[in-house]
Amino acid sequence: MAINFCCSHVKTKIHSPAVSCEGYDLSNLLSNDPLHREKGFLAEGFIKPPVSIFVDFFCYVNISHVLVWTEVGRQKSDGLELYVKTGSAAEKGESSHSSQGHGGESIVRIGSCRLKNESGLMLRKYTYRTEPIVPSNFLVKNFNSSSRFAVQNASSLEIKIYSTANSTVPALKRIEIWGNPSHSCSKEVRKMISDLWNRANSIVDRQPPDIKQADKKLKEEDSKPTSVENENSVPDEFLDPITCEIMAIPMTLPSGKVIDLSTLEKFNDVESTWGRAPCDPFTGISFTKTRFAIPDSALKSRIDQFLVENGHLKQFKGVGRTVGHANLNHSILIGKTSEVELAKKHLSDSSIPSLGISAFKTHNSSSVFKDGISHSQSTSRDHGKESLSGKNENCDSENLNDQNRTNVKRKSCEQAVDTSKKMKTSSFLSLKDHEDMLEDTLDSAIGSVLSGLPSFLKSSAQPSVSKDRDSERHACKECNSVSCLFSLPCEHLLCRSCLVKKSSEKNEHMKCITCKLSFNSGDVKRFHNI
Amino acid sequence: MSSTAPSQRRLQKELMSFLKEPPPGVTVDSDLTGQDLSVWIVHMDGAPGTLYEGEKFQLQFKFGSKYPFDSPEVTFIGGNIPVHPHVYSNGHICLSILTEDWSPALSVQSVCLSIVSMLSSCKEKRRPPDNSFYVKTCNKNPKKTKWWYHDDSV
Repeated sequence: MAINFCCSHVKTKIHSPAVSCEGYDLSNLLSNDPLHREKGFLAEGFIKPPVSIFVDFFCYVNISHVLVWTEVGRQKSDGLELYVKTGSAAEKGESSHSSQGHGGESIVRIGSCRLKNESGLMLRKYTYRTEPIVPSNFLVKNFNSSSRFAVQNASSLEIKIYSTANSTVPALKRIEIWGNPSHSCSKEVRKMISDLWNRANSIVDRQPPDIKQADKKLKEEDSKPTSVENENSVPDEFLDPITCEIMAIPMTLPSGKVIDLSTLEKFNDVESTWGRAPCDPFTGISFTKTRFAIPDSALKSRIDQFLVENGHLKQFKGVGRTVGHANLNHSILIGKTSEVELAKKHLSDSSIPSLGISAFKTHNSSSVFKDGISHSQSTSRDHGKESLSGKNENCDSENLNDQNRTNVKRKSCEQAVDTSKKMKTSSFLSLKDHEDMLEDTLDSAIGSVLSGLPSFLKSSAQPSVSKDRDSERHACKECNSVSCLFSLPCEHLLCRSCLVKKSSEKNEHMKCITCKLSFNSGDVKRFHNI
Repeated sequence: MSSTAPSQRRLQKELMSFLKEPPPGVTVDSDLTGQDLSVWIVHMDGAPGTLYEGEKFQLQFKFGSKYPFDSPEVTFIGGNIPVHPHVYSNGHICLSILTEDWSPALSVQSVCLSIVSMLSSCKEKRRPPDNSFYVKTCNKNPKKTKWWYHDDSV
């Protein structure tokens, strides 16, 4: 039975003159804690090879093979030399702690290697009967023939790292030294070592089920509240840390914590009853122009996704979902109307021929815009259909596999269909509204723009314009026409044709018909209906 | 257990985390609190090395529907009410975080810890100076009292 002597259970000791990096101590190589063992050994950053590591055995050991893993993360030792310290038979077996000095001891090199792409080295006895399992990507070598007797009676093993790959830090992930207590050891020592090893192994064997049981217990504990509350499945980041509810509008506070907008508002309401300004509930530092809560849209989208996926579950039925559609449409509308207004300004300022063209352009762009809307509408509808059909397909495929799961899934699909239907109709409605509103505003805007055009457009412009209250106010006082208005010094309006008529009738003293105030033709100004 | 009041979910979470990692010397009476989450009974041991070493106290937490935006009503109950300059003989505690300095970011754990530290930092066991007058005239609910926090050192 082979024993791994690189293990603290069999009283092996390890030491090195080199300083090790924090957390990557030499003791990791002997440790039984898988966490520590995973880390391995790393020398401190300033240590350059060669670095020697000594593994001292409790008794003389007949080594059968040695395994050395040389990569820790990206640190790799690629040049290794292994030595064995040996002593004559009788010395150590009887009195294990009395070192006999140099008299009977000698150091023998048992092997060396230069690793290229291999991740470790395996040195073995040429005559070893049962072939040990070689880890993948290992360089396999036999012990030096001259060291044949030394490895049968080793009191300590030295691993010398004489080179590292890419001048990284000397590193050793793991060492395994397999063998048996040497024949030169007394029976008691051999028995003790094998007992220790057996006990250690039984501990190791026992550990996994223990861990599993512990895991189970933990899981049971976790699942208990889940069955009661069905709430633990919600990721903690989706929950408001103050109310422990799923957030509808997550806001990132200056302190970095995320809470729901409603919580923040409630909190600030309470704070105001104490006469305090709105502040971060976690730090109590009040908000300023540069220090305030901002919405966490990324988290919001993750929460929404989670809710859409799990919306069929009971506990999510009451969860509020805020969708900011109305505002979005509004902002687009505003944006567009302002554009129209700009165009209007532009039109009224420019001369007649270009007027027609740019008016035409606005009209065109508006129709394009409408097209865009209907297009996006249809695409969004198609998209919805696609995703729905995709979900249905999912359902079908699942159906073949697992009926129970399918039922759940189908339910979820139906829910999803329902919700998406709702969403679709609502968005459709809002789109329709939006379109109508847009049409109205565009019509009125274009109408008012066209009203400024000369008489050849008058007939077409008038009907639409007459509806417009604003332009009714700005109409000719004589003929009530709204096209091509001029303002008198008394701020009353006359259209061009009436003005021309007047000026041809009375050359010198023209009078406003409303206030009877006389004026000169030089005082008349063009009136822009903006 | 359906969560009707908005504070229920928060209280449930707090109870779970309290049971998981209670402050030193503090235990929650889970039998009593399990039935009604709005009233908690918390057992508190006097911290070793302080004037209250070896004593046992009981705290009662009452949570209103506005919790956690509104502070819980915390009083000492039972036979042994600590003799402390900020604790009245009827169990009311003069502690700013229980009224105006309350923050929803605080929890039962942090309140317990504050009370333990308040007791631990005491140097002389005595009742508040206005104890007899206060106990005669005060409201049952300590939150109705307009406290004057005159001592920041304890």
